[in-house]
Amino acid sequence: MIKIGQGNLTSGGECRGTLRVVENVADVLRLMKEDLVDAVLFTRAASVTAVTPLFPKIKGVICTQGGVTSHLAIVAREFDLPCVMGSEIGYEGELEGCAIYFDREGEIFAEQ
Amino acid sequence: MTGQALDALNQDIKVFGDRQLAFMRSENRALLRSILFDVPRRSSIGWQCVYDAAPGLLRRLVEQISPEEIGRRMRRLCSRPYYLQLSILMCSYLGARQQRLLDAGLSPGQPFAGEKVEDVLFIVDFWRRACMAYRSDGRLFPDQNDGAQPILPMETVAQLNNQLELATKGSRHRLRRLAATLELYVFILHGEQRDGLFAHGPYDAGQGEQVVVLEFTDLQNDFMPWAGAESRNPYSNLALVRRFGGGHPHFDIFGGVRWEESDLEPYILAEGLFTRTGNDEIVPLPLNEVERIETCAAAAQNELFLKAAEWSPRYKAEYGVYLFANHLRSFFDLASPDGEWDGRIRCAFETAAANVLEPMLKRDEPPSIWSYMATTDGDLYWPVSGKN
Repeated sequence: MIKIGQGNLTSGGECRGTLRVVENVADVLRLMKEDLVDAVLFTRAASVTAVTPLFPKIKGVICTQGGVTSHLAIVAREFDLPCVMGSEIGYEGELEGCAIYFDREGEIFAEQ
Repeated sequence: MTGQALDALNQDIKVFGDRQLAFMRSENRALLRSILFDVPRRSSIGWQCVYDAAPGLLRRLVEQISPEEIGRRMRRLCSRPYYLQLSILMCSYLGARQQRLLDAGLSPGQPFAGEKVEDVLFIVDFWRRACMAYRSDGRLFPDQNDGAQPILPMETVAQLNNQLELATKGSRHRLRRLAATLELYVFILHGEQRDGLFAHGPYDAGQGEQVVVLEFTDLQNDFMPWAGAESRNPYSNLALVRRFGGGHPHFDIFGGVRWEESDLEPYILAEGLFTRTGNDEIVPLPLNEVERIETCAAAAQNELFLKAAEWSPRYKAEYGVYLFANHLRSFFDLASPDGEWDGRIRCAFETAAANVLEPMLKRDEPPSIWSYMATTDGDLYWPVSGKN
């Protein structure tokens, strides 16, 4: 795995799973029909409502915006979900579906 | 207005604005976007409605009930309004005012021909008097009391504390999961605004222990047009009350709490779930109610999500009219619990929105106040000039 980014771990601990990217409502509606037991959501919005139906099913969250008091972080913490906020991602490859891992320091790794 | 009164007014505007700006910067709130809602436009529309309609409506209210009495009546479990509504009143009114100052191309301190000095004075005075009567410490902000948000009378805290059950691994997990589900529900119900979710305390429970309350209100809203769902929450309000054996909570000006500790579970000694009935009675709920409440909330949140997913781009902004009217009506519910004012408030807000909605929707960018809030190095809200 290579390091692809760094964020701020706001809840939970290290997390390993499969990255599922949420860019719009259509992505959410599609993911609602899937088994998300291994899913780590990747989103660029710190809002929580857009991923409401997915939250109880997923394994973790990576967000490129916000911080510990963002709505997404608040609810992730209550679900005891590993969550990294304010992540800076320096990776040009395809994120959807790749194996992902983040640690307690908020370092984010992906399988190339 | 005397010079002294003007200085006091501007001092209140500044201290509120400083805290709001610090809060918003801490979470990059000005940049908050949602793929489901047009957050900046719905807020700006709501603020403009508050600016135009709230002073007149609230003046009618205070003919019946003083701001101090409003504050006192809020000092009960699961009150609506609660601390958030007081902050929303200020940030909505001042935010709309600031947008007008920006639109006029002014600089801080310059006279503003459109200033409604009496309205600014009224709103700030209402907020100050209600807030000081509401908080147990008579202060305005949590950071004036080491980050605390005490609002319940200690007799009520004692009543709750005496009914808490010792926490077990199972109860901690179930109640935490319930809280998470209810949080998702109130966020989707209020279109990504943190209404209906209120943390307050800590209340001294002796021997180094403290009680913190997490409330969920507005769970059976009938006012906002989209709020109805087939799965109706069985209770209109719920309070998760926990006694902690340590920990350092910090409460914020929008009703939230942040703990210094990342894992709270080792500190939870006892907990309980309560509701306040229409007769103002506080009723403890058995743990076996949790599953029913959680199932309803989860179903309702999914219904609301699917509804919102179908909203037009216009309505993703326009819903702000009803979101902010919902805040204001809660003050009137304290005087007239039968919803007597709902229609008048709805009508006043729709009338106010009619002037601003179309122009706002036509512009490609959100209103300029959002980039201003993200970047300003000065005061968030400019003072009222004595030269208007």
